[in-house]
Amino acid sequence: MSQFDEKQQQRYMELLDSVPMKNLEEKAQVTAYKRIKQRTRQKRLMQWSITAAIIVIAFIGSIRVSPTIAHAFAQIPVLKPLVEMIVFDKGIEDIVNNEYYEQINASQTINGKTLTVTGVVADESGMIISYRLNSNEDLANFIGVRTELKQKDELVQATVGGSWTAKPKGTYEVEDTINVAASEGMDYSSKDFELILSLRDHPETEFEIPFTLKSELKPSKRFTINKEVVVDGQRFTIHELIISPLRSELKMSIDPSNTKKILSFEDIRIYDEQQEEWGKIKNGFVGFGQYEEEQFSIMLESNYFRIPDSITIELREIEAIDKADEFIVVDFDQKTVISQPENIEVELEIKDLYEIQYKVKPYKKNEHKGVFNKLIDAEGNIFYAYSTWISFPVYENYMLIGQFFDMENVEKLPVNPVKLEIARYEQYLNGTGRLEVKLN
Amino acid sequence: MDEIELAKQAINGNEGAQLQLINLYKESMYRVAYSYMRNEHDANDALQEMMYQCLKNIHKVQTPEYFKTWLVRIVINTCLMMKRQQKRIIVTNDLVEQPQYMEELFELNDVISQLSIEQQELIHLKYFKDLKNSDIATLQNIPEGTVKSRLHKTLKRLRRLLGEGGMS
Repeated sequence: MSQFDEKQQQRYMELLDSVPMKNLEEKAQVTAYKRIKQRTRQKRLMQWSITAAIIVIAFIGSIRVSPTIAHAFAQIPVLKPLVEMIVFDKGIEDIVNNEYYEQINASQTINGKTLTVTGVVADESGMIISYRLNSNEDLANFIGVRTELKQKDELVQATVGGSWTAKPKGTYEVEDTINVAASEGMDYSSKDFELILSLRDHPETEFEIPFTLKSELKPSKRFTINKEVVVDGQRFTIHELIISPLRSELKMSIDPSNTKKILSFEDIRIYDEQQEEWGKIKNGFVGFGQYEEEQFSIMLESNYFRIPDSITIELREIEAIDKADEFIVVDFDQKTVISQPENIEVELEIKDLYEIQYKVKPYKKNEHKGVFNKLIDAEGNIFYAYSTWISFPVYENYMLIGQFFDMENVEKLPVNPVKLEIARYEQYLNGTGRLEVKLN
Repeated sequence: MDEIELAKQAINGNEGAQLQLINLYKESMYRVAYSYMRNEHDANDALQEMMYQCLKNIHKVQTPEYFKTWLVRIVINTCLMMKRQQKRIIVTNDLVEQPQYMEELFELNDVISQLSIEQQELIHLKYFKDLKNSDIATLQNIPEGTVKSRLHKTLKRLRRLLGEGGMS
């Protein structure tokens, strides 16, 4: 290693003093401050949900609605964005067929743009708010919207999210939906709400549209189950099934004495007594809570308007590893892997600055998953990975993945040896768990 | 108000104190960024990112006395991170012309960059500590003497360095 002596230090400091300052960006702190302010808004949006929610985007949907029906419904303005959702969520089809939605038509115009809340589907689990945005600028140049929902002047305790896909050039009108998911249930003691929507590209254009729900809300139907399912020797308890018009929620827990650590439930399905699929894991928002917690929830599609007499719950593709295989132990100073479980086939390399790089076999769905999401140092401090990159193209035999751990804001760097905790790994329990439940 | 008091208020969420504090270190941060990034454009980018990280995380600093160490860590890490990202994204010849006397700074920085992060932090912490007095003076609007002597020093050094540059 090179030496840096007193003399060099002195010289270096002198030279630093003579760095030309004429192009120093005078407003750097103002720009940084603006970024903070924007971020605070986003944070406020998620402030509550982030403590408990895991949001995973999964696309397992296939088109199941007949194009003719979809076309017919799409003629009704309120329904167009809802019908588009049916593609990804069968439960919405029932909502549309049963006319369980409320027309709103409240709008506001700011700087040449008009936002109209066209309709709302509301239940105890949350809401779907459909809107139309007419713009005087080409929406193709827009990157998205920020959304908030207020009730009695306070933010509703829920995850509120508006999706945005890139629009083709020459788009001046869009219709889309905002998804509201409340893990503790919505409060309808007041039915007056206010939707706040701003455009990411024009933060100054902030729509505030109050709306009031008038229709009667369908109450959730709760079915206590409290039964155990065993898959590959691992025990799971299904506590409750809560069905609301928008979504079904399966409350579950994992037996802490299991020999395996469950990493992910990739596929859960519910069949009715005719063995027809009644619901499965929803796209987009898939659950609340973490698997280590006493109980967590997995969201499934809802078929609220068709409750069968009995159902079969199937737990398929449960991603799991042996508890003994939970960690890879490394030393970031020596840049060495100290120990690695035999079953975990990850070719790991330790880089500078708390970066790791590794090769793993491509996942069968070619999904991009970082194997790790946190590290635990010798003193038990936890550090989370804050960015993950994946090589493109994906190599034939392996994917090259890199992850960085956030050390910029810590007071103390991790003490070696450090345990890298495995969060996702392509290894499944053998078999499928089945549980039959009488609902009526 | 001294620096520790300022840091204390900034940590407690006083926005005015936060801005004052990063203003106080702005020049030093920029100089170090320049040493690592080697051109004004990237140095400004790094400076902005440092300030953002600083404002975002300042509440996590537990003791005001620790503030400077923490800030230096952000400065170094941001520079190293941005350099690393640069390496991945673009490989071009740097056509932006930099003052010749800065070559020596970059050479020294090359040596520093090979040291461990802890050592890099230590070197720059010394620099930040040394700067304290003059910058605090600026903050308190009694800069004249300090500024004059610094200007004089810089001019002298500049002439000498330019002379050296001409010889090579």
